[in-house]
Amino acid sequence: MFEALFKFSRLNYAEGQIGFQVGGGWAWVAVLAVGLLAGLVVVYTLTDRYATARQKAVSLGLRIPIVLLLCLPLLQPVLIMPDVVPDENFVAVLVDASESMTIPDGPGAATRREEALRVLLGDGGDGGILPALREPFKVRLYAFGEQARRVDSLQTLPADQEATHLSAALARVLADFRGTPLSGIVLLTDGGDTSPDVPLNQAEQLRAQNIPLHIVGLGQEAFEQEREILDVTVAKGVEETTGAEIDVKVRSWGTEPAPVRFTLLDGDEPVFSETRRLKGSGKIDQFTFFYEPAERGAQELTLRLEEAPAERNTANNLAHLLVDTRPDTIRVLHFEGYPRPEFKFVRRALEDDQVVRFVSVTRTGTGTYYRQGIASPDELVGGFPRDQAELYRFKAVILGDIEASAFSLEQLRLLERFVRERGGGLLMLGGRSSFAEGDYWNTPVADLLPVEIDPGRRRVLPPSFTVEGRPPAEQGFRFQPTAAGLESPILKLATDPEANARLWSEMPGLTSLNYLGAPRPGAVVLAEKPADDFGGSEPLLVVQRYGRGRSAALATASTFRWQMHLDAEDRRHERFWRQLARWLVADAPDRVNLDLAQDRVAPGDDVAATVTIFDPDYAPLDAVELAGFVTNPQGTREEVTFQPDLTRPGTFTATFVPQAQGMYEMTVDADGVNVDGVDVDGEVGRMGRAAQRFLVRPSRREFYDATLRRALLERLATTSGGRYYAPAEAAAIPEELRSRRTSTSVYRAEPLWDLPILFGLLVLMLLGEWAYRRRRGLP
Amino acid sequence: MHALPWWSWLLWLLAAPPGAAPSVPSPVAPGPVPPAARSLPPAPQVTPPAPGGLGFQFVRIRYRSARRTWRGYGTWAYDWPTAEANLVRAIERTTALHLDGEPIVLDLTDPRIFDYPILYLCEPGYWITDEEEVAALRDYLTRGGFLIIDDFHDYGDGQVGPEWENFYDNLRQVFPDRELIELTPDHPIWHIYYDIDPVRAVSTKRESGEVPWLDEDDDTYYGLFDDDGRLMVVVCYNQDIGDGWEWPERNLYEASTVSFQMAINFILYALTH
Repeated sequence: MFEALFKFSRLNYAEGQIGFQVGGGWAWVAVLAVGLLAGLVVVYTLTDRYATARQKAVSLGLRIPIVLLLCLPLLQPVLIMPDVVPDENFVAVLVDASESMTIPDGPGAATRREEALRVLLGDGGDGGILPALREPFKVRLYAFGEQARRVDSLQTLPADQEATHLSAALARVLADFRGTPLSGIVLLTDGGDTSPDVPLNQAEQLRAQNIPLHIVGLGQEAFEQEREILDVTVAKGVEETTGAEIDVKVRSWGTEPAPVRFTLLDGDEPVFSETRRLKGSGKIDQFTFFYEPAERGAQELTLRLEEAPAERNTANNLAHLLVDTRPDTIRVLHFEGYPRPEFKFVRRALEDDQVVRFVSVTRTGTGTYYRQGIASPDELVGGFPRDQAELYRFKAVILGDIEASAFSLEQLRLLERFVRERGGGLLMLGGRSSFAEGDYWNTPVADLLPVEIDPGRRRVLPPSFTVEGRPPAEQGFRFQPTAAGLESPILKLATDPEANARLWSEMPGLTSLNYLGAPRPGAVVLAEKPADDFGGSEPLLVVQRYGRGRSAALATASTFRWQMHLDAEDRRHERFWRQLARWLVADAPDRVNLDLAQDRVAPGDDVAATVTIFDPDYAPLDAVELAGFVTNPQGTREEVTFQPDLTRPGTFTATFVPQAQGMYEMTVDADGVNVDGVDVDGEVGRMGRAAQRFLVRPSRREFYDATLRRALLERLATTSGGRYYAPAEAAAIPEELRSRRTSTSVYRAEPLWDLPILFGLLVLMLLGEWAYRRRRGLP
Repeated sequence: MHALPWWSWLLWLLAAPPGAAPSVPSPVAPGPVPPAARSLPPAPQVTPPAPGGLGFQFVRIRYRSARRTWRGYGTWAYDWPTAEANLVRAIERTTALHLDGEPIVLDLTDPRIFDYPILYLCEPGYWITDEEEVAALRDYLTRGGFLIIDDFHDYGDGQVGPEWENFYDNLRQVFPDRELIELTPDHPIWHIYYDIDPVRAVSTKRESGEVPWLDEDDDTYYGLFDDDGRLMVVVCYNQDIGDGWEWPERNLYEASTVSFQMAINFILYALTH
């Protein structure tokens, strides 16, 4: 309609400019117009055939525009609009060739790739934009994933790239066309950019060069039925006998009326299976699964999320993960002031744990200590360590029923440094001489505890929590995990939260309690004594991070009742203690530490490794010789060179790029020689070794979070000066490219004097004037 | 429940096997007291336990016995209550152990035993068990409890007699597959607090002259271990350390002193292993 009235399209008018080609003749036109108008005015002034002055003025007013309109063509109006010189300019067409283009979410279950071909080539060879583009332009075709590359034919267009790097693709095109007239870029993609780059920067650059980017968005912005695993992480430091914490982030786009099953597969063999309820409607859920590896060592597993009915994109329901049980040893020092039942059962629980090296010192009499688990007759002969290096050999310290005065001030300071600087864990147990009862307030140890030591709550006699006549299993108060406690790895007795809460509710009661002060800011109360016959609720298990390490307060000494009042086969007591010990040491570094940024990468991705080295006092140590190597899946070794990180003392970094799929192991050997050339351990040989495994598998990241990123694509297009199109609107692209001003535009002038709208207007005005006169009975 | 006819106790006397003991009234749920027990002094009042787990409390096990000679109680009560009263004072004086309360007496079937990780049982030569007791003791020991068995004697010279046989039969009911292992002088239990040479230790019975045929070598100590090699039961055969606690003033050949030391070592070992 617009074009019929105005000869050209809106776009032509928007991009073009209206001008007059009359040149110097405009003065004659002006004279003519003025003359005609003057004549008209004179005629109207002289005539007396109008009844009123008003009628005369209206009639004159209607005739003046007619005269002016008749003069307009004399000015030779033209539209100056951009155009292209046929076959001189280029258009680059980029088609996404990443794996996500195989997702069949187009009309009629067409894949995104098929939809792209339909836009370009049309149905059955006509209607596509490619032939239309080829009329005025030279078209260059590119397929892109991680990199863009030229393709000659679309028929062989692949969709096998494991990544989408929009920035890199656009940069490649710009580089290819440097110095060549590029009229624009047509990009067909779902926008699932998997690179860390910001494609918007490239769009800005395109705008600066006046090259519009026209984008056709493929795929659906939201799936009707789609479940996907967005992320899976396995907590570092998995040990045998407790569970591997597997954090899973999932999303479902449909409605989820029933729980959904998650299965861990070892090869094809299911080794773990649980159901969880999903929120659905595009909301993200996060779950933690507890998987207990049956065997030592590294295990490659696949997590499978049950497919939704009629789900189209099923590749993202699977994720590879690596569960690598911890090979090192947790050295725990338990210092017990008085022999008591609790100690015996804590020791049994931890000693049976193959990962824990349990060393204990029990004060049996005045100045006499009974040492267990020691490696040499001299170890800890004087009781609690006085020497920093002796204490720092441990990763966790448990203080049993021991009063502050049993330590020297220096030992108390040492304990504080042990947590803050060395990153160790400290647990204080309840007892007659713990917390306030042990006079810990105003000591360095009080500073690191997760609760205040409140001398006002000190009890001279231990309070009683037994009631005469009640069955023993029902005596005492309940150990009630808080909401945070049920999520904590310390209190996980079962993976299912409801089952976990039930298992805790069935535990025999506890019969001893120290009244703690207020939890410190930042501390987390994991369990409490609920309000009951014995009084209000009280914190029972409180934890916090302190400095580089962790501290915990357990205000009871009666967890042995969980062992004695339950069947011998029941492992809840042991499990609680082992998980608590592991939590305590989770931040405690070794002398030689190897940390990988990721334990799962795709072939060709970087594996960033960081090594941190400490001396026996756990000060960062730079003067070491490092030998790093990677054992690849074929069993051959490749050397890895670590470079010192100049910004962080005692830290070395390296990058390794695996090519083949499979399980790799990175190992680093440290030789500790200090600046004086003396071995820091006082012995010649290796200071330590650290190793980490990692898994190289196709990322399949293209299938995760694989909806159409319309917002991103729209911003890219408009930033560059182009437009965003749904596939159905894409037919407008050739005209857009032709008619928009670009760096390659040439300009042509088209006459406007013969616009149909002008003729129509003239007729209308004449009719209007005539009608007016007829109605008024005028001449 | 119908009351028994007045003559029923006569039937009971006739039917009871010679030497069989009447069941001990339970302090928690007293059962029907057999008429024959009426002539005996009442059972000792059991101190209400206050389990807190903060220290140690001495628990003596009461059982049905084939003899009833000690102040009219069963053989379980030999040396009671003086022995443990002396022992806990000695523990308080010489060790860092806290006492959680005064010594108490419990039946094996009393679920309160699970609040006390150490039990003491004497005169097992006359100990009569039933299935319920056996099951309770098995549970107690497999969960981590510790039992000291003391005060039974036979002929010495390596010959076992009826007291051993009775004790051993009972133990086999609890653990049919486990064997007792002698605690030789190098076992850590003899050195945890006091250094004790069990070979040189003298039976307190020898000093009192009650069993004069026992000589220095006849007292033998056994252990019963669980699957992980942890000691569950310590057995003092041809020995009566309870007597040594009861009669500290006799102390001939230092037998009483050693009996206190042994008890303290046993208790400290049980609380740390």
